[in-house]
Amino acid sequence: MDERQKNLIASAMAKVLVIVYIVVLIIGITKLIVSRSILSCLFELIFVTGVPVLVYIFIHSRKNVSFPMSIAGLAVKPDSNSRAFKGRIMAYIFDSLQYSSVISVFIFAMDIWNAHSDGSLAKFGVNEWLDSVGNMLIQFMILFAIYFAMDFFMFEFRAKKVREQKERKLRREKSYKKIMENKDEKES
Amino acid sequence: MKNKKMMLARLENDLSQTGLAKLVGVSRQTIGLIESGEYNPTLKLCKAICAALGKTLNDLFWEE
Repeated sequence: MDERQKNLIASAMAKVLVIVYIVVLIIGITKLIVSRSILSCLFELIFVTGVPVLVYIFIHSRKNVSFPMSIAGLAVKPDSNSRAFKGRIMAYIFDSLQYSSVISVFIFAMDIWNAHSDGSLAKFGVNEWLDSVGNMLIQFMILFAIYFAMDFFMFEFRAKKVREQKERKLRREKSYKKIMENKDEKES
Repeated sequence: MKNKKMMLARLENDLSQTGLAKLVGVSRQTIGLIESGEYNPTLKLCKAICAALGKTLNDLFWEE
């Protein structure tokens, strides 16, 4: 199988995974609301929380990348121009969305599990469900803000260090070139 | 955009698409799609094609 065939298959599989993920998410939520029992949608819950974690692990398994990656899995640039800055911001947003959504869904699942264990899940009405979903959304927003702030301060500091290193390297190369040119002039 | 330079270089070397595909380790369809401009090969594949046809990257893949 050559590179083109591998790319075609990978692209098709990614699209199928997205469709399957959405379908399983809808089925899981429907089962949870109808049956009010977390055991009835355990597989869907494991699938919905496990797939993003696995995707994240596979995308970030490349060890030579020190910055958050863009949605396409490419390393963002540490340059100071506005385009590179926007690219980094999008990468921080994508990174924070991944972390905060996985953790919020996990906390929501734990809350539902606790409600199921103490028998209160069966008494859940619309208000209780809205409360739970509302809490999950608030947790998501808080976690998103925290992860975004952490990513921003940590990686902007690192981007600045990388730019300074690049500048020092350029200055060294320039002075080395000058020395070599002067040496050639002297010899001639 | 069609890659006529690559097709001409292949013909100069008296190679069919299948022959070139075997030399570089890809399918005949991939060579055909590269020549018709419908697939952008990776740099690794470009270098392999250049090596097989005895040309440089500039000769085969530089757009003028």
